[in-house]
Amino acid sequence: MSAKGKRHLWQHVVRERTSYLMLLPNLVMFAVFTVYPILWALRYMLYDYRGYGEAKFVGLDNFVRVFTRDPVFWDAVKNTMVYVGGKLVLTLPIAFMLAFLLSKNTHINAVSQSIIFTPTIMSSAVMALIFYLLFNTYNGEVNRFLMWLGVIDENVNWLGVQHAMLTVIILAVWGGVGNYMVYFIAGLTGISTDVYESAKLDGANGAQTLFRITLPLLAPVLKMILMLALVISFMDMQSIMVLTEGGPMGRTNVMFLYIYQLFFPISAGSTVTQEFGYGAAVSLVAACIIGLVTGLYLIIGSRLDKVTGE
Amino acid sequence: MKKATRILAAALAVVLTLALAACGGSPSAGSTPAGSGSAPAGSVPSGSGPAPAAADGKITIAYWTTNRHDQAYMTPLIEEFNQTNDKNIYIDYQVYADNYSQMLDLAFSTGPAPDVFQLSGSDPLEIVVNEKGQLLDLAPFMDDAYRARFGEGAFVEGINAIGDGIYSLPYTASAARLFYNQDIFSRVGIKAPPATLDELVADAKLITEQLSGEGIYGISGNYKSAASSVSRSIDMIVMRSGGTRGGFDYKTGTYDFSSYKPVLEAFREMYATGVAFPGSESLDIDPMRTQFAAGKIGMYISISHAEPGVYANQFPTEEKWDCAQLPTVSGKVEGKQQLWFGGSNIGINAATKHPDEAWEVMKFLHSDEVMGPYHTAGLGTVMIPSAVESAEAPETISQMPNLAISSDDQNWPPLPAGVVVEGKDYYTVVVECIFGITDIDSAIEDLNTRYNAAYDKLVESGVERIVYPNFDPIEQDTSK
Repeated sequence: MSAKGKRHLWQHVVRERTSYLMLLPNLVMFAVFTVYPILWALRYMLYDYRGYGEAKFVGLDNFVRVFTRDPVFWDAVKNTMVYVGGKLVLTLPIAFMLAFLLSKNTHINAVSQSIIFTPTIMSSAVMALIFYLLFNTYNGEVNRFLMWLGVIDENVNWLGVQHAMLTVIILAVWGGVGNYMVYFIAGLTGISTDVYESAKLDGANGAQTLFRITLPLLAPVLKMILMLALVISFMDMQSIMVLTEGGPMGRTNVMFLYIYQLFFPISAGSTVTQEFGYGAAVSLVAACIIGLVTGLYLIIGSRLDKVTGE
Repeated sequence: MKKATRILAAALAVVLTLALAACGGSPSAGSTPAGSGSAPAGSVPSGSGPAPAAADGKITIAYWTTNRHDQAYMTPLIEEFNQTNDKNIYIDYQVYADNYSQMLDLAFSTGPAPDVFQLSGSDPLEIVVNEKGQLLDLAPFMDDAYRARFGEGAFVEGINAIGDGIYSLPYTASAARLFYNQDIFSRVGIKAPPATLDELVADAKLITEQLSGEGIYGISGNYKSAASSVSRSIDMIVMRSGGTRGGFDYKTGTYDFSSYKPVLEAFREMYATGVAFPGSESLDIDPMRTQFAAGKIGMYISISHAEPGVYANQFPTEEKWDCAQLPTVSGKVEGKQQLWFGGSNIGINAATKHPDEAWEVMKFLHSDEVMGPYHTAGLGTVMIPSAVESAEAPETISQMPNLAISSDDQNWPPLPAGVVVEGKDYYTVVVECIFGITDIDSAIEDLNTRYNAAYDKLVESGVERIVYPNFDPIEQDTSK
C-alpha cells in the first residue's frame, strides 16, 4: 500500500473510530474463539498429539489415515448424509406449511407460533432426555400410544439398530421446525399484499396463489434458509450424543459427534486415548465435505435460477 | 458477483465448521469445563453443601467423585467435618455422573481442577502421573505408622505406586458379578445361578420363553455404552475363563482376541435371537436397573459395590435378588478376574495450592471413622485393614456372600499404556458381534491385526514391550 493509501486508511479509521470501537469486543472474541482455534487445528492436524505429552510431527499421515484406514469416519459421513437429508426433507416442508397457515396476524396464530417455536429455545440435552422417555422400547409413551391406536402389536425398538436414525431425525425435526417456520413467516410477510389482491381479482385459486405467487416470490429467502439448514444440520451432534451416543453400534454416529469423540472420548476404555492431532485432521476433511456440499447446492441453485429465468 | 457470493458462502461454511471442530465440538452438553460448583449438562454434580463462596473464609478443598451410591452416607460426614475440623478446611463435595474422565481432563486443562479427586480409571496410572502430571506424590505425607494401617503389599506398582512414589491409597474394591432376580428364577424353576455360559444361555432362554408375555426377559446389559458394558461382563468372563485381559496376552506381548470367541458366541445366542430384554443395545446402566427393580429382567452383569446401594436408595425394589460369581466357559475358574477397581481410588491434584489441607481431606476420607461404618453399611468392600477390623461385617455380604471380594478377584498387571488403535475399538466390535452385526471370526482377526499394529507402532517409538514369558491367568508370574 502506498503512503497515500495508508494515510487514507488511517484517516478512515480515525473518522469511524466509534464504529470500530463498537466492533472491537466482537473482533476480539472472534480472534480468540474462532481464529485461534482454527490456527491451532491447522497446526496440530500435522501432529500425533493426544492432549498431553509431546506432539510428534507426522506430516500428512493423519490425512492418509482418514482416507485409507478409517472406516468409522466414512460410516459417520454416510450417517450424516442420511441424517441431513432426512432432517431437511421433513423439516422444511413442515416449517413452510406451518408458516403458511400461521402467518396471518391473529392471537391464535401468535400463540401457536410460540408453542411451535418453544423447542428451539430448549436445551438440546433436555430435548434428547425427553425423547428418551418418549421413545424407549420398554415403557416409552410413543409405543404405548401406537399400541393403543392399534398401529403396532408389539413394542418398536425406536432406539435400536433399525430405527435409531429415524428417531434422531424426528428429534431434529421437532427441535428445528419452529425456527425455520419463523424464517418462512419473515419471508411470507415480505411479499406485498398487492400481489395477492391482483391475483384474487384475476380469479386465482388457493393452489395457484401458492405455486404461482408465494413460492416463486419466496425463492430467494428459501435458498438462504436451505443453505443455513444444510450447514447447521451437518453440525448437529449434541442431542444425538445425549440420546444415543452415536449408537447403537455407530448407527447414529455423525461426523461432528465422531470428531467430538476424538477430542473427548465418550466411552473411554483402558486402551483408548484421545487424539487431538487426528481429530483436527478429520475436522478439516469434514469442513471440506460441508463446503463441497454447500458449494454444490449453490451451483445447482444458480443453474435452476437460470433455467427458471430469474 | 454471484460467483463471489458462492465462494463466500462455501468459505463461510468451511470456517464455521472448522471453528466448531477446533473448539472440540463447541461448548456442549456434557463437555463444559467444570469448576467447583459448576454443573455441566449431562453430568450433573450433586454436591452436598453450599458453594465455595459460602465457606466463610475457610480453605476450600474441592473433592470430586462419581460415587453417587454413597452420597447419602458421605454428605452428613462431610458436613460434620466442615463444621468441626480445626484446620480451617471446607470440603466442596461434588458428585459427578457421566463423562467424568473427560470433565477431569478439561478441568485440568482449563482450570479450576479439583484438589482431591477420584481417579477416573480411563488411563493407566503411569500416564496420569508421568504424561498428564495430575497426581501429587503422597509418600512424603505418610509415616511408617500411617502406611502400616493399609497392610502388607498395599502399594503396588502401576496400581497406586510408581517407583518410590505413591499416588493413591487403597480404598474400596469392587468386582463384577451376575445379578439375578430370585423370584423370576423360582417361577421358571431355575434352582441355582448359572456356572457355565451354556447354563447362562439356557436360563435366559427359559425365562424369556415362559415370561416374555408379561414383559419379563432373561437377560440384559447396558450396551448403550459399549466400553462400560463389555468391560464389566464379557472382558471379565474371558479372564475368568482363562483368556486374555482386554485381548492382551502378557505371555507373548501381543494382542490375541481368540479367547473371546466362545463368550461372544454365547452372548450372540442371547442378544441376536430375541432372548434378551428388547432395546438392550440402547440401554444405559440406570434405565436397565430400573427395569431390574421392576422385575422385568432375570439377570444382568454389574459391579458388587454399587448394586446394593442402588436397590436400597436409588431404585428401591420389592423384588428378591441376589448375586453370583460370573459363569465361565467350562464352569471352572481358569483365570483371575480383574477387580473392577481396587487398590486405588482417590488422589491429590499435583497442582493444588493447598497440599497439606488436601492431605487432611485424604486422611479424613480414608479414616477408620469414615471407612469402618462405610464397610458395615455395605457401600463397598473396604480395603483398609484397620477400618475393616474396627467395623462389623456388612449385612449385605452376610445376606449375599458373593458380593464379597474373593481370592479369584485381583488386579492383573497394567496393560500397555498409550496404544492408539485406528478404527473401531474392541468394545464396539464386541457389541457388534453379539448383536449379530459382525461375523465373530473375521472380527477377531481384524482386532488382532489392528491392535498389534498399534502396539507395534508404540514399541517402535521406544516403549518397552510388555512380555512375561511365564505368565498364566491364574499365577500371573510377571518375571521377565
